[in-house]
Amino acid sequence: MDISVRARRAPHWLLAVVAGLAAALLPSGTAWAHEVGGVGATNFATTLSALSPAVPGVSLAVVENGSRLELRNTTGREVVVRGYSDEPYARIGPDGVWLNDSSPATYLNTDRFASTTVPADADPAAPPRWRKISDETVHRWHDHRIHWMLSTLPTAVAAAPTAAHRVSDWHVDLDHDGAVLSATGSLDWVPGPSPTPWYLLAAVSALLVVGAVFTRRAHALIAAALGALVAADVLHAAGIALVTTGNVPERISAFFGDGMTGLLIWPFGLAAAVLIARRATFLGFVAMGVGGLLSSMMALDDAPVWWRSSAPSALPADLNRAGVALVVGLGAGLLLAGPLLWRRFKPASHRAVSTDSPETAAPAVRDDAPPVVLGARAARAAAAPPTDEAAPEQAGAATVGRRGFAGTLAAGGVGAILGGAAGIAAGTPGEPAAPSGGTPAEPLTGVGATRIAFHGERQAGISTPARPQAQLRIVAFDLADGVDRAGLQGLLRRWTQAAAQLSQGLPLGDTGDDVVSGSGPSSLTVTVGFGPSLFGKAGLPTSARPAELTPLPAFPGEQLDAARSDGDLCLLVHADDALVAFRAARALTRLAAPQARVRWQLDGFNTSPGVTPKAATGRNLMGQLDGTNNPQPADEDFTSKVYVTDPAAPAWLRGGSVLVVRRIRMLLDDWDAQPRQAQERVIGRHKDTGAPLSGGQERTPANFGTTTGDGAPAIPADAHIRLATPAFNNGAAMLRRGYSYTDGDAAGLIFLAWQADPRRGFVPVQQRLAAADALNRFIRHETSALFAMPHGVTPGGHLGQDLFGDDPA
Amino acid sequence: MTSTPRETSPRLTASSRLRAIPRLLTASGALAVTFALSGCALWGLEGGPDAQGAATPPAAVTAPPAVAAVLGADGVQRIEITVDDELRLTPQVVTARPGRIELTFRNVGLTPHDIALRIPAGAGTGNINGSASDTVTVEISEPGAYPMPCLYHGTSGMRGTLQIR
Repeated sequence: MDISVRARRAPHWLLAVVAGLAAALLPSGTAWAHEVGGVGATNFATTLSALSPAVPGVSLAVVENGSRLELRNTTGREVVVRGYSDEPYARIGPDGVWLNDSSPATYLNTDRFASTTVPADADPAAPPRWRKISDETVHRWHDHRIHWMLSTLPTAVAAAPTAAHRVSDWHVDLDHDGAVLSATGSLDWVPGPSPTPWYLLAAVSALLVVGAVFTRRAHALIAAALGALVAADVLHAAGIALVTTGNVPERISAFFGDGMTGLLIWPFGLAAAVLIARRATFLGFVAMGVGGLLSSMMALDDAPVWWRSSAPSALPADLNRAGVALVVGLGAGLLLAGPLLWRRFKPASHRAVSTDSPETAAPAVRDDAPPVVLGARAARAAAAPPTDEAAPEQAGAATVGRRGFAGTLAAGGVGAILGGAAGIAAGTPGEPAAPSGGTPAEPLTGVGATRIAFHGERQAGISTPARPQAQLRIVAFDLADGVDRAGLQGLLRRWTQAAAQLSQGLPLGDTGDDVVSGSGPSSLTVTVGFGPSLFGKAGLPTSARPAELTPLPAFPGEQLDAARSDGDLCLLVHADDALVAFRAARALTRLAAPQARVRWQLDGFNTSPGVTPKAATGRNLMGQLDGTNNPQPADEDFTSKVYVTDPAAPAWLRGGSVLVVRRIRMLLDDWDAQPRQAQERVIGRHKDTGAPLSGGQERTPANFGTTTGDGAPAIPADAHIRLATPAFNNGAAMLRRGYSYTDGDAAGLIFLAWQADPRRGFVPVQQRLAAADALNRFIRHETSALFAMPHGVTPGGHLGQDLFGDDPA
Repeated sequence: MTSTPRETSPRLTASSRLRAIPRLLTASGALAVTFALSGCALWGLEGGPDAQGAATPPAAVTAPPAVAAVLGADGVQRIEITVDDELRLTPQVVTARPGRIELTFRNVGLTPHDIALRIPAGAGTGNINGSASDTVTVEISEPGAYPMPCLYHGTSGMRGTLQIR
């Protein structure tokens, strides 16, 4: 009997030894992968608002709770990620992932907090030294532009941590196939919920487990609690592993924890649960060990998920919080219940030893007996044969259910471990990575969030975006006396830098940032141009003025206000929001000082996005559709009509465009007194549909030969569209993107026309119109200006950089 | 009656519960010690519920004192600015007169920084490793506030200002 008892206890002792080992492993295994990418539960939320323009096959994602960015590129062309000084940092493409060893980002981005040393030969200006790091088409890196790097809270957050804050906006540029893909997003502080319900859940779980010891089904209930503890811990680990990016071994390692702690402790806990269900009372100590270990680790590492808004887990936030509460509560309960189970059910041999101890011998203790019910139950249990091995037989058929229950639970736990591991191994890395839970700030709608790329071959704001924005502010400047070449270059550099930031919705760091605080970039574009009068100033010889910039001739009938015409420099600011446009124009105007001062400025407006169908032609204040016959980007000769392609043009202008600005006052009182038919004959189009009077629909080409019943031309001889049509102007065409304006009693059109050369665009057309247009009775040209917009700018350069030739100075 | 097992068992149970108390105390004591050793950093920089015990920025950051660059005999204004692991520039605001200004950035921490100078024709320091320093000389003629953000830590608010008066 004695031998057999020892033999049956051997596994128990073995288990105890393993429990001790597991406890010994605790210090080394404290980081039980409760952090992913170096980040645990947090109130900081990094959001990617947009990657624009969107390219199918190129996807960027914020992963690991904001710790890293992940770029996938399945296109045939590589994507280059720019580093902190706009230098190429990484390229991801068909031939794998390469890092530029000359980029400081290669070293900084390896660590969540950039605690590293950048080698002296890492110079962003140096030619890239590419090194292949992987064959995959995905790269993940700690981009320090997207997360909080400081070991203290932001000042505003520290002042009011229970309120939501926009900490900052971020911006990362990618290059793909000659285009700049601009990723923008925000870093927010999102306060978490109250932890009280989870404290209560943990406390109630612990109390239930302790109470279970004093019930008739103590063993089964303790076994169940241990099984549930392991199951909750497995679920928690699986939630973490699913958001861990990386290869299968990395994800398996995240699942089992550092040092594969889970691989040891979960099967061990489940085995103990099964044996406890079989009344192996001694294993109450194992339950104590496993419970204490998991509970304390979970409490230390994961309690913050209760009060923080997001956590690195694939589970829904509240399920994750409940899981943590269960592990902490059940574990703490088992820490107490294990020894209590032993005390209550220990075998007689041990009991004899125990009764020798002073406490049990003290009569006072006996008199302070616990409630009779507990005592009676304990007595019944004690009356049973005391040895462990006798218990199953004694319990007989009645305990089969309990054992079955615990066994099922244990088997379920093993299944959960295996299933979780398989799911993690098979899961696609990165895809389930969006950490659930946080209440993100209200997302901006498409209007506010839309960004137009600033960098590129051509300046934005000419033919991009396709639909003109709702707001215009145009500012003309005169150069201050004595400004030299360096002064002008400095001004252009400041404008370029600020325009690049503003158009991507980034703050400038001045007090004006507050004007647009919380606003998106709203399709802001900034377009810079040079007037004819600039040549002859700032060290630019008059002879350097390109032929395209020949000043406009005087036209009959115009009543120009000289103080509100012309200018050395032009800033054209467009946006879908008036505040955004104003803020940008004002910031850039301030940056112009002291090299340039405002000569005149105009505000214009158009239909807001969403008000009319996207493709609809805009209407002017006379009620006409304006811009029907514009060149279309799909036209074969669009580029040559709108952009300067002449090889004889100076390099700075090639790829640019020439803008004619006319402020045309509409004499609306006279106009509105006309009957509709008279108005339509003046223009040559129907007002409602925009169809030419010769018939058809808006875009039907006008037939100038069509006659009415009485033999008169359907489109009168002095109709506006007859005189303006390219067919009668040697093909002269321009891209008109006009805006309406009001100025006190005055109202009218800010006529903006883009062309390769006004001498083959605006000038011949306006000469014909000025001479005979029926519309002349109702309009008055009051402002005129001409500006040449240089070609676009690449990162690191500035607009008009080659204005002084190729000399980089 | 007193000699029957039914009577002894309750007493045993009572004694065992009393004996469990020292164990309980030991266990909770161990937990308390662990928590205490972790100190205020227990829940990291974001702190406990409602950010209690969170790491808050020092008051100096809230009200940055401006320090003027010192004019040397050679007409160059000089100032040393330290940059550190707290992502601060000290002084955060440098004031100077228009003219030639020599800015020395000394990294007193371990984290690298790269301070950009948002001034006309201004470049920046390039990477400054921990314990390294870099000197940049600029010529500014126009009064104004010129930002000096760290290219690595801009999102985290690491930004100084060069105030030309």
